[in-house]
Amino acid sequence: MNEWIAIGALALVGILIPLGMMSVSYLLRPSVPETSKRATYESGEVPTGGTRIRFNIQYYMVALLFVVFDIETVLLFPWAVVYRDALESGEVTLMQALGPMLLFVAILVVGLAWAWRNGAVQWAKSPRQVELEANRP
Amino acid sequence: MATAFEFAPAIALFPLAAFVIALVFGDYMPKKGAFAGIFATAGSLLLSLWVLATVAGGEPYNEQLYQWAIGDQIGFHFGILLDPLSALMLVIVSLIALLVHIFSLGYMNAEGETGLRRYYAELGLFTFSMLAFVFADNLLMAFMFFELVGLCSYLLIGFWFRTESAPSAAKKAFLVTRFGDYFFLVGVVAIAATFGTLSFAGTESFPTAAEAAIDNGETLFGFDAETWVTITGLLVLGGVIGKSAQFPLHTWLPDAMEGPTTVSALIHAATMVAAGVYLVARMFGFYAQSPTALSIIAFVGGFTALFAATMGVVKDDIKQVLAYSTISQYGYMMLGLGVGGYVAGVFHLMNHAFFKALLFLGAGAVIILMHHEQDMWKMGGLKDKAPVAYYTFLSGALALAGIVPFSGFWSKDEVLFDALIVGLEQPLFLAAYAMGLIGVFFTGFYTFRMVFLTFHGEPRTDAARDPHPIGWSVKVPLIVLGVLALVAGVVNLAPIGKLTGAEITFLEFWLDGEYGAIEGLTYHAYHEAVPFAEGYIGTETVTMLVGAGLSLGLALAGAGLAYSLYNVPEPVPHTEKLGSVRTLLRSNYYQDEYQVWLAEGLTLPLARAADRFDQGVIDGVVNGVSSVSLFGSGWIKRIQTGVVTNYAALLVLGFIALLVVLGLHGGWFA
Amino acid sequence: MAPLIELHSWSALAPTLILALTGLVLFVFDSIDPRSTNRSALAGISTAGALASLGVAVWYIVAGVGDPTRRGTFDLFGGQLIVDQMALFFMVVVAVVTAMVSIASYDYFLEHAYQAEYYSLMLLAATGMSTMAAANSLVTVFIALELASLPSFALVAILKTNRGSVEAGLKYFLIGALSSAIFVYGISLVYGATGYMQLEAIAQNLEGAEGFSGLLGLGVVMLIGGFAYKTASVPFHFWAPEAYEGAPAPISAFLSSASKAAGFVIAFRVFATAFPIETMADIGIDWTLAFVILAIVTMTIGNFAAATQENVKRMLAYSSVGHAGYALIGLAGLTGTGSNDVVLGAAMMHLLVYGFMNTGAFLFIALAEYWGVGRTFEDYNGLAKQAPMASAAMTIFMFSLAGIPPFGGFFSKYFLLTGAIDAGLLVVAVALVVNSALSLYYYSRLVKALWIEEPVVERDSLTQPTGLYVAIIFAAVMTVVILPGFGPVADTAIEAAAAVVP
Repeated sequence: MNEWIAIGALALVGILIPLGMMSVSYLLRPSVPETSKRATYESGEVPTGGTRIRFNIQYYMVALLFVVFDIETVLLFPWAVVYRDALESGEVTLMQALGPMLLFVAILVVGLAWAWRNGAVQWAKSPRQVELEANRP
Repeated sequence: MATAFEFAPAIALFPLAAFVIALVFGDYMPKKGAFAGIFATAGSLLLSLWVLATVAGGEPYNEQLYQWAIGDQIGFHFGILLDPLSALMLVIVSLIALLVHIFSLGYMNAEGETGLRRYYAELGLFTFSMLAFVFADNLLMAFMFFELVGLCSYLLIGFWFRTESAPSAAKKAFLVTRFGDYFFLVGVVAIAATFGTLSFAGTESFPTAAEAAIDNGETLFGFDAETWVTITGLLVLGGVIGKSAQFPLHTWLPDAMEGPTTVSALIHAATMVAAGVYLVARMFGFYAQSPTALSIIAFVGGFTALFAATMGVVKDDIKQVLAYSTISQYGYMMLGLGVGGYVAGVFHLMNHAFFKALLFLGAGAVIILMHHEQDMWKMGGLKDKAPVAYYTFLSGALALAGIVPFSGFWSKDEVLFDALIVGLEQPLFLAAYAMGLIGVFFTGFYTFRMVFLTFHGEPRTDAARDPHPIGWSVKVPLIVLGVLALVAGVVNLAPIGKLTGAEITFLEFWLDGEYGAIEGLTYHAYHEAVPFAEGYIGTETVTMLVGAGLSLGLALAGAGLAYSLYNVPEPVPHTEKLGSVRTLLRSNYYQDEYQVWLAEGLTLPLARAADRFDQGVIDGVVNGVSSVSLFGSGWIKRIQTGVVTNYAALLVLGFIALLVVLGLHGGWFA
Repeated sequence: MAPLIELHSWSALAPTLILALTGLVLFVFDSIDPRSTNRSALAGISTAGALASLGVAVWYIVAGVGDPTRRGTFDLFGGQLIVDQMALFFMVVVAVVTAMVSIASYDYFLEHAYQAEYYSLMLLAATGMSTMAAANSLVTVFIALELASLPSFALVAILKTNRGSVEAGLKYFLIGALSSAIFVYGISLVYGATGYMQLEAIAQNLEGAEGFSGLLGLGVVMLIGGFAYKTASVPFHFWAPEAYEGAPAPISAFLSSASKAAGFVIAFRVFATAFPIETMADIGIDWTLAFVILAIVTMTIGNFAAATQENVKRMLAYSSVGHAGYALIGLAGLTGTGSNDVVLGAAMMHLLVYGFMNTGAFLFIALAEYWGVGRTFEDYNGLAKQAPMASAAMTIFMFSLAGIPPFGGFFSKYFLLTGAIDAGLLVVAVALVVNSALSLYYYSRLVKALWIEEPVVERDSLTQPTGLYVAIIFAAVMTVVILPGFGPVADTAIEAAAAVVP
């Protein structure tokens, strides 16, 4: 029975946190309703109309990065589960247990750094921003 | 310490280097690359002498250097065989080549020839080919360099390619010798296929294999072993007859006089023509297995000796006389080898190299003296104007005619002696001997006819009255060779040895391996293998004396006749009295004519017919195939439509087709 | 003799790791200095990396890594990767092609955007190909294959403003996706039939698959499809002419030489190791028959389509398909009766020689594109007068590709021919001869255009870009000198093949 109480508590906390956040923001925010704000939020796209529209290429970029980190997590998770047991068993050294994962993460970091530097996470510029940049000396 | 043999490849490689250097830098070098050739051949000579000394020290050498093709049954390789025979020949070739190079300074450079870079480069290549041919340790390598020798002589004979006659002569030389080489090549293939080896020496050599096959009474290709050896031997002999200008393939050689005289000296004395006879000596162990082949060699040799000598009698051009004398002398060598006189043949080859080089270089000197005039009737009286040329030429002439004590006497006498003793038991050979013997008379006659017309009497033209001077580079080679022509005979004074019992037949000991040789390649071994019995008139000494007396007498008679006819202040062309015989001789027995007929009347129509077949049927098929291919190509090209969905469809269809084929084949759907 | 230093066993993978590391270094470089146009640094890094990989691979071969009698083969990660002589042989091919293409790209990508991306993608693709050489399990095979393929798609399309390049990239991608799908499905079927992915394990568990011969057979044919795609063999070749023509010429060189070689090495390894001929024949899956068919059809279609092309690059692309057909003889000839090591070794030699002559030929196209002389045979008319050296090199490539004796291409083709005859595949041998004869036609057409024809239009004098020239001359020299060095090369190849074939 005890275990079920813990699960119930977790579920309760899980529901309470978003509800709390929403209610806090409801109390704090100023309310200036307008059409676009009333529309359903769909990552900045117009949520209604035909499906054959062009998405900004940046969505794909973000999706790709997401997949990369997703896969990273998939690999990290089982590793993390066995990590401590492996070390305690004394069959592998710290270097053998930690090294490959560090290497893996390092490679990902190189990739992320490159993507970052090359503007993969920079959102598309609005025409005004482009104009501003162009005007800069 | 490094032995001579480690440097042996350099003997041939030096002239090759000279060839490259002269070819690339010749125009920028003093004397247009002559010195490169001189240094290279001098280096070769020194190394050859070293090799000779080492072989004399009892160390022959037979090594395989580089295997360039390996098959299941047989491998082909390059290798070096240095035994008494090849060591001796290396010295001769490199010496003559050196002297010819030096002489060329006077004959070519001083005369302001153009194209000297080419000349020296080709001389270098020529020397290289011959030296490599000489030390080749197998028949295929020998064949390759044999061909290269032929190519070089083609290039050099055609040196003055802007004239009309030189290129034609070069082509003739090339084609005629190629004709012989064709048989040679077939022979090489036959030997390789039969015995699985092409090596000259060692236990794995084809002469050994042939001997074993005959002893075991094997049947090869449907023939008994001896017949097969005869057949293959005769095939190889085809090449020899072509290169050594033996009847009936001798016709190229007189024409080859179109080349520079220095080249003639090299071709006749030490390289091209010598290559043929050398090859017979090289594989003598093989020929010794076949009495038939030997008899044919002897008869061809004897006949050529006489046949060429008769033609030499009526020639007016000094080089033509020498050309026919060359053919004739190589006939003697073949005769000597054919009757089993291995030492005699090689001995004559050596002596001939010296005196024929001398005579050609002498003729070159005469040509310089005469401002490039070659007709003997326009000469005369040069004796006093150019004593060096005269006395050295005389020395060569005496050797050629076979007058005692000049070198030619000893060797020719030995050839004839060997022929005689074999002939006494096998009367058939007496005919060959007789032809050789009669040839001696003609030799004496034409030699001295040439000497007298050239040097004696009164000068008959302005050029002869006022000869062009000759320089040291002409004289030095002449003197060296003149001395050699006189004394070279001492290496094998067999008659004196027999008379006095002194052991002075050094060449025989040399070739017999007394100073070291390779097992099986000795005179003894050959002598035992040769199946001819020998007989004597009375004792050996009496026979020898009779033979020597006969040949010397005939030579002197010939010389004497020439003396009486031509050693007069104003000689007249006595040969005109011969009438129709003279016409026959001057036309060279119409040999050229029938060979030309063979080429034009027989080969050409055949070739035309073959061409028609080729053009019509073969090319028709080929053209048909190609147009079908191109048509198919245009069709296949269209599969690639450029539409990617089509590709995907075709890809999947192809995949399914493959699947179905494999599935049906493997029975998966059952 | 004890080795100087005992290296850790995974350092046997050093040729591959160096390529990967170089790729990462290029990323770091580009992160520090985005949009860099420092061509010398970028080309320098990638060339140095490729050369280092090449050097290590050659060193390993010489030192006897993979030679069972000396250092032995290295099984890594439980047999997922294996470093034997064949792996090293193909690592050499990949590295040397990468090095040549890197050097050549220095000039070719003058004033192009995406310099760093270009080199790093190329190095990553090379890493994938190098891994393919060592892959010893269907999983690693697939991962390595995808690692090689994905950068390749981007590389083909890297001329973003060039419609041909983008179109080619897209077509390549689509066909690639389809083929990969077929391939991975094939892997799953083989796994389903045998229960293993590791190649030796598959071979040992084939008996258990006897009840599933159809299933396994379908899987095997699907695997063949995957390899056919990577090696540009019919019917999976459709991408090749388009991709090679549209891609920047150095990339065409890279794909048609290194990528093809890598495709072959996995095909060799998978079929020689995992599917022993006799066992498979018992089950009823005679995969050599598939390769016999593929070899004949591929060489015929490739050469016939090449014969009447007007566009030189497209001609070379089809000829590349034809050469894939020649190399397939290496698998077709594994009949189990003939001398298997010779025929497989011959295919390996052919791929090595091909790595030089074909790369060189495409780099000559790169040079022509750099000059801007045009694309058709006519445009090449009379180039020899203005660029004799490069034209001489191109002549060598053409004659070597056609299999004319003094050059390397003759010998490898000759060994293939004897191998085919030994294996009793007379049809294949005849097809090889006929196709070679036909190929001489279109190869010599180009030589004729270069040397004999007069230029159609007047050209300005042509510059001599150093990088391209170095790569082309190097390739030409290697094509020629591989002949005297053929003994050791042939020995290595045949030994490597002998270690793989049962």
